[in-house]
Amino acid sequence: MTSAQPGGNGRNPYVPYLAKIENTLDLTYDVRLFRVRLIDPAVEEAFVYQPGQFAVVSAFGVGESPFDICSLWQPGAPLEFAIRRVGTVTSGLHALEPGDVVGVRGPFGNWFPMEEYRGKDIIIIGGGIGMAPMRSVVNWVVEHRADYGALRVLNGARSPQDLVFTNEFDLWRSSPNSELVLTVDRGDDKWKDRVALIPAVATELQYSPANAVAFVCGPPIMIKFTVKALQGLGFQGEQIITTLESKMKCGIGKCGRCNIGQSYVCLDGPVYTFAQATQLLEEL
Amino acid sequence: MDIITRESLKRWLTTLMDRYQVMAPVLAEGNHLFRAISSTDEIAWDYYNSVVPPKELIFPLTESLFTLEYQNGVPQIQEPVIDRQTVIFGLRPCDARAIAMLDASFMNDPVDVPYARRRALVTLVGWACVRPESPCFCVNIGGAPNGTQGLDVLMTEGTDGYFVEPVTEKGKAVLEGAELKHTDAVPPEPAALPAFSTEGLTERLPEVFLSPMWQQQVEACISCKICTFLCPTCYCFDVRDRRDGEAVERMRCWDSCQGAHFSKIAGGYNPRATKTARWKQFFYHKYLYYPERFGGVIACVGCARCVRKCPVNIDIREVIQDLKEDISA
Amino acid sequence: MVAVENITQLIQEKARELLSSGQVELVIGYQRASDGVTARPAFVRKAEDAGKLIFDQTCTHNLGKYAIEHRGKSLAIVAKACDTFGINVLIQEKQIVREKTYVIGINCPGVVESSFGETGDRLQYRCQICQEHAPAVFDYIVGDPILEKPLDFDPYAKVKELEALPQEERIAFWEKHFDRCIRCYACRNACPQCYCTECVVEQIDPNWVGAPIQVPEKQIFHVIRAFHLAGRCIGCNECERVCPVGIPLSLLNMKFSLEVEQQFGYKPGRDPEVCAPLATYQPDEDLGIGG
Repeated sequence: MTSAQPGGNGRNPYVPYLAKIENTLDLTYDVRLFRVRLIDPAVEEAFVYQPGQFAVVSAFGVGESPFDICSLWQPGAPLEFAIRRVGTVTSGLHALEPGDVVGVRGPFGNWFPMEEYRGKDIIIIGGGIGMAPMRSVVNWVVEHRADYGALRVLNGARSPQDLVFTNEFDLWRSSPNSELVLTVDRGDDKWKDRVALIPAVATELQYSPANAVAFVCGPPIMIKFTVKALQGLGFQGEQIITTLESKMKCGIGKCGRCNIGQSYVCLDGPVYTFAQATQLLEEL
Repeated sequence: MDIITRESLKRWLTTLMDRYQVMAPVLAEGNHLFRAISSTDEIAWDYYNSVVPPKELIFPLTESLFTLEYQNGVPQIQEPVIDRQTVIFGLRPCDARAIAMLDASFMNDPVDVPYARRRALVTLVGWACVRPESPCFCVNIGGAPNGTQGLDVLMTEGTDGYFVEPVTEKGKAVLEGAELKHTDAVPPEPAALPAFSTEGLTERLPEVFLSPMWQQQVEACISCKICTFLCPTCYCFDVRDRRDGEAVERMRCWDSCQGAHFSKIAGGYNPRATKTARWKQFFYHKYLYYPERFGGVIACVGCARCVRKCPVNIDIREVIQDLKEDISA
Repeated sequence: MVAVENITQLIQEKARELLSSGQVELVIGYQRASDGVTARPAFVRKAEDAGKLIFDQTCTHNLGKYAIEHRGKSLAIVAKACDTFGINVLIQEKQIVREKTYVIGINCPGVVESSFGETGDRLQYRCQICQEHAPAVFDYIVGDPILEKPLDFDPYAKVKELEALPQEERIAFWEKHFDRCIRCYACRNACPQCYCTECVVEQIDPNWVGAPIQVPEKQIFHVIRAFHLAGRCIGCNECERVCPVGIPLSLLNMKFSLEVEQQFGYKPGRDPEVCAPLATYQPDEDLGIGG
């Protein structure tokens, strides 16, 4: 057993850093981008995060929830969260306005090991709000373009109105050696692109596993079938990387909420390779 | 070893109450529970074990994490002051071992500060079990009815008083002023408990995760929270906000993986929608996941509260027995 | 204790018959518990396993909740007289389908007080005051009919004693007991009539009752539950038996039963044709309010 050192002189990890909503941008009818700035400059300076990490954001009086930090860290830049209004806390956050104070705890969790994937072709497949963590991966590759091979992005959603980062599509398309494929489950009269489920499109596009790594994020069923499609194309478990959503509370591996199989999603995740995810006894 | 008479023990405790909050087992409406005492008359000297384990004294059922108030429009966070020196008197070795297991998790980086603050102020003075009874099974799971692990002092009832064994420096310090007398006598050996082995169980658990045995064993479960709440090694909690006008209080309170909605996420998806899946989590966390993280220690101390109090007699010893048969098959 | 070996044999034979003929796919009954002296729920799906079914005076559980859990299956359920009142309530409330539920009713001699590893001869209080030992609904009945003897005491005596206290004392009485409550929800979950998939006190949005395990929240939980059971609680007292800290919940539920009996002359589940007064709307009913 690890030796317990009694004494509570350290910072209380349950007390959030205070932050202000700097501004917001409606990305869809239910997804809003929040730009949040930590109030204490010393805290802001020390709050360095990697793509894939999350923070627990409080709407004080309503509660707190974990959200992927979908921006890339830069000194002096606010934190960005793409938050879909789907439950109690997210509704509480959506009711706030620029200038309002929120709580931030973090950065927590592990991150996408982007250094490990240098030189490889990067395939990014995001469904719905699952595109939020994928956005930081796309932007990382775009920013460090020369370090990576081909950039192939597949972004799907239930409908055209559910595609989240439409304002960044041009930036992604304009990056050299890049491809952006869009698809929806149901189109509308203005929709000109594919109407097909993501796994089918992945197969159609015949992604090559040679020197490639595939990032997958979206609803559990989308991940399940997309991974199947990728395996069908020859991708091995270590080549498929995902980030998992789980009910979380403390974010620091104490409260037990996110314990799935042998893993605590807030500590060992939320980023897992598919090989690691299959090692977990429970199904996610 | 040293020995102390019951009367001297009471005198020592009474002086302790000047400096410490003394928590001891009392009889509350027919139930043995740990409560703060103001007189040694309140102590239930003949208790077997408490219904609710003493973990509630360090990890309370409900506690305030902080309050947030606006002062001149500026939000201020205030943490509660935790500064009361406490002696927990009369806890059993199994419960002390369990507290050590909670320590390992809560003190692991990042340190759970509210727990750590309380823990630092607590001294554990335990009583050995001289007459342990089935369904208790501490001996089969790495413990002992007279074990000292996790305790600061161990006392064992003998014919002439209590044998006193200080275990830590903290224990020695709290005993100052106690009228101890040396004796050549030795503490009585506890009565034997029925034996069964749990050796090798942890290693084989991954193989039997999908066994149909689980559904059969757990079929009667009503998904209440008795097993987890009465378990001294369980420590899941919920974090919730409470509004009081403009002020906000963030609290944490006990929660349980046995609750139907424990793992449900916003939007409705629930990875543990069945009681079988939930009970497996209870078992696997203790017998596999915790040992994997914390040096192979099984997070079960054999106190058998879950066995005694389960409304439908889901008996963890039976599950272990069935598993062993499953594994050797 | 009263000899009931005959009942055990009859139940086993009936279970074998129902399962081998395929009339039911599941028999919910009792078996011996791991302590060797008390009982616990049993689920039998194969005729050859019917031998584990028992019935004796330690068979305290109200198995009705499992009928709801296995709704949709053709099943048989072993039910004491009080349990059958509960089954009638569940049928009225459309939680179980009568045609798919084969009731093995028991003329019940009463169940004794027991806890893990311990049992004895003392009847549970609810059995001491019982005047209705015959099942109200059954497809097969076992056990000798019990001769009802009039009580020489008021079954509601304890409730009335509490009622007579001044309000501050009643409040103090309940606060003293609810102080021990840990919100384990065993009381609620053991009750067949508490079948809401999401209990109002656990709802987050709206957050009617907070999550803290403190006296105000505990109090409101128990009072809400008692109100929700008014006119539906059949007095099996499983809630009180399963409580790990001995809260006298029967006093709360009996208070409501007394009120319903006095105000409406109604006892739940005795007559499947008569619906619960609090769940019934009659346009011409005189409510005694308004002009």
